[in-house]
Amino acid sequence: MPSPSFSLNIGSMDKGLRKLLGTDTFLPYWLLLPTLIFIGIFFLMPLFNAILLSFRTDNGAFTLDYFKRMVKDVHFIEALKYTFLLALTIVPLQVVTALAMALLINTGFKGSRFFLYLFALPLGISDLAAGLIWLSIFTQHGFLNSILYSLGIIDKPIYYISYQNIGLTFLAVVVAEHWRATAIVMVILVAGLQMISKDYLEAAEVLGARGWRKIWYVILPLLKPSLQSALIIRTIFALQTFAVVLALAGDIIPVLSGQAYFWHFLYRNSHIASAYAVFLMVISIAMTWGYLRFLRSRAEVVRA
Amino acid sequence: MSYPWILRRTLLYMAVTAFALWVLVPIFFIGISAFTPRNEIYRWPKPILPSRFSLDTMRFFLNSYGVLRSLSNSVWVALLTLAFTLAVGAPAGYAVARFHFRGREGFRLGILITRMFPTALLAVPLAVTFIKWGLYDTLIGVALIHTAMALPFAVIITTGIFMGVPKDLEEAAMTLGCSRFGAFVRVALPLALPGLAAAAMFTFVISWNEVFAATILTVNNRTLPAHILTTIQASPLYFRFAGGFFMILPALFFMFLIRRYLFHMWGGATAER
Amino acid sequence: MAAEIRLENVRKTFGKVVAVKDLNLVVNPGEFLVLLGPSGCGKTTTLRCIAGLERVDQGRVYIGGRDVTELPPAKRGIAMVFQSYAVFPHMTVAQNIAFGLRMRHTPKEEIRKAVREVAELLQIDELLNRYPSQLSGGQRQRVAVARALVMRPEVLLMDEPLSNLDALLRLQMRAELKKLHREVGTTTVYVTHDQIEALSLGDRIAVMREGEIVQLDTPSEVYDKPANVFVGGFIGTPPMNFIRAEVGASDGGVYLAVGDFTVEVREEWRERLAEMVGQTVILGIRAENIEVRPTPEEGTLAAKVVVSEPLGAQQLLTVQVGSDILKVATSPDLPVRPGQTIGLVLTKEKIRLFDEATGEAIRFQ
Repeated sequence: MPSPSFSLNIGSMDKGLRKLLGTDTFLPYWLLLPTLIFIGIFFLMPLFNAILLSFRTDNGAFTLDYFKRMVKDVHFIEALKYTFLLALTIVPLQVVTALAMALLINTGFKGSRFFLYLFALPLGISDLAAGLIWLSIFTQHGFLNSILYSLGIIDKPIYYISYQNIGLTFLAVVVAEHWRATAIVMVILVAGLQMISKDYLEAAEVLGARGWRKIWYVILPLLKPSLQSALIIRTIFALQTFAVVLALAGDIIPVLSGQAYFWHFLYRNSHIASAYAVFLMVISIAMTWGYLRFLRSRAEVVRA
Repeated sequence: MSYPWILRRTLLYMAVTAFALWVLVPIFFIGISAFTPRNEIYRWPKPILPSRFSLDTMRFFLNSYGVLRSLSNSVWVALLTLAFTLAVGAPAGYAVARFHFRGREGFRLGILITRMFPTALLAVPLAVTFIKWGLYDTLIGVALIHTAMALPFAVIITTGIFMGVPKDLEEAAMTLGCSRFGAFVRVALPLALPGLAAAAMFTFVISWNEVFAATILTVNNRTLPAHILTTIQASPLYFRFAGGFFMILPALFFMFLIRRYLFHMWGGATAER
Repeated sequence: MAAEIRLENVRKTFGKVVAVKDLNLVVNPGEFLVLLGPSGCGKTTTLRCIAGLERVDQGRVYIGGRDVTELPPAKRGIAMVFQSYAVFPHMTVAQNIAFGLRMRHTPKEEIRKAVREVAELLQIDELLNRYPSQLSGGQRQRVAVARALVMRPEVLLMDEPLSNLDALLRLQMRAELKKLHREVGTTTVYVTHDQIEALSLGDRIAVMREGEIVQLDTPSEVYDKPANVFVGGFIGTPPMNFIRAEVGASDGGVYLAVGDFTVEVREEWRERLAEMVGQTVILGIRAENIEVRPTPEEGTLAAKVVVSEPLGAQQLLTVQVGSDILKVATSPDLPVRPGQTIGLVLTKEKIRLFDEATGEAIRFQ
């Protein structure tokens, strides 16, 4: 009979200062206090300041000017387009790859732990490093061109990364980002798969569902909460793609985070940089809300 | 051991091997690049293995202006970040794991929401604030924002770790003569230590890898990623490759050490909901 | 060493749930008291209030005459055995047992001696250098008990200590705990939901429901004279049978009518029952207090056999009387088939009567 211990009880609140400092009632709040203060200073205050910076001139007058300048910025539309294109291409690709990896791992074959660790390796690799890694492959005299040439497939190097070939450049970024960040999705999905009771799977087999049918009708619906988490996390981070693009493609492909960086770092305008940041936040919230709305309702139906 | 069984096994191992190669080959390439003599980087066509193994490129990288300094900065920032993060986040994780207090679910939701803040939203206004506070271009300033970024993970991870230490054990220690704090120190802490160490390493990696905020908040005191990013357009390819390889080294090492805890960190954190 | 425990008006709530409702309880020095009840009845919370792991909302807790209400567990002179055993996994068996004494700064030599003694008492002296992960469930249980006993506590608290053991081991440990208590003589409060454990171990049993003690008595009293329908139904396998009966009177005196059948009542009850003629009461009788006749004879209650379960030492019949279902224990040799009609004789000395509305036992002086 697990009884909820250390519970809050209002009745004993007024029994003196000694209780205030050391008892079950207030102890958890004391323990949370540092985190709450930190969140206040390093999340709420910047959020508040970013909104102020993007809507208020240095003299303190309210203005929409910074947002107007952001929208009229030559790179804005391009940045918006590529940010969304990246997210829309990478996230589904990652989910499919990660799902394949996770389902393979989940069969529990001999050596699956080893392969799980291998698949998870890129988890520790930064976006900047990933960009540089793939640069060694996609650069003009890089490994890809060298291998294709040695195999006799091409007779002169292809320029994967250039203004002339934005499509290929975009693909290079997609490959690099897909390579780096699929690991997160996979780990989330493997964890989700391990939570699925074996009973369900055995019941499915008894009822004659095997192979693809078992995956489609039994595993995927049960995996929905994990899929949802992975989708939200990955989408939010994909919208912030930055260093991988900069390392691999320089300024050939503009993205929103990159614009915030340039406005702050090169043009020294924190107002417009903040406008970009606020804009990113709004998109992130909207996407999350959309996912929750769209996926939650179906997940509930499946569970019921 | 029927024929289809063997066929299926073969296909399975082929599939996982393909995925493993997909993950490993790029790491192999950057490793090769980092140890290829500088002049061979531009050779055409480039052989998969260089004519000779050379420390020349790495030496050039480490001796380049600003690299050693940014390296030491990176280590300090990461160490400060892990100290701050555990000091601030672990008590909260313990509270969420142990107590049923009013506002507990709200707090957990709030922590999840902070994960959605774009880095730009924190870094740009904080740069302005830090100038006022004298924290701009300081290692502590960078460590503080890295702490903010790592804190949600730390709270979620330590919650999982302390939930893995049964409450009964602490209560038993209390009935055997320990105070609550004594029970924590003698029982919960030793049992949570491996997990906390993993969380610390993970925090280290988060900070070590972070580039956006570090670049925005510094001018002279760059961390390694910030240094590489800001000099990237002007750097020769071999510098970039050596930099890329150098950056992934500690990350890969730590990931290897904490591989058993990966699920605590990512899986457990999200699967709980 | 044995101390008295006294709870006065103890109340504990969790949010809106009242787990312990103004509880009063005195445990005598050296007594083995069992808190028995279904899950969620507040028995574990009561134990934890005595231990100091829960802070009571109101009321006082006394141990050995000392008011310990505001004291932390460490200062109450208690020791506790947890359901999960709570054996520290990062310490050897010896370190586990010595833990409490070390907290008390007992001299090393004394600790070593005490650990050895208690380990011998519990037959775990061979295991002192092992870690808990190398022990079986039963061995861990012994370590937990040893760790508590070595403290020579004034009060020993046990929270369902046997519930994680398999059936055979549980039986064995139950006997051992009883023997240990006889040897050590510490005041013991023992929480369980297993009524057989309660009956076999307790000097007295406190049956709890919804945060209140509904009956506090010796095991035989609790078994034979349940204070209400709840206790009768909770204790005993199978639970007590309950049949609706009407109090009737004829020139022969008062009787109870079950349908057309009349049940004779004890001499001593007649006076009290005479005041209740015409009322409906609930008649309670245990399965083993019903005799079976192979055919419904004169003076027996006719019943139809629904199921017959041979249980080794006895045969358990499920029979139907009117719309009531009864359980009857009989000899395994008695040949009965489902569908057969048999006759029942209720042992009149063993009948209990309960108020129809409240379910409380009707008191006869």
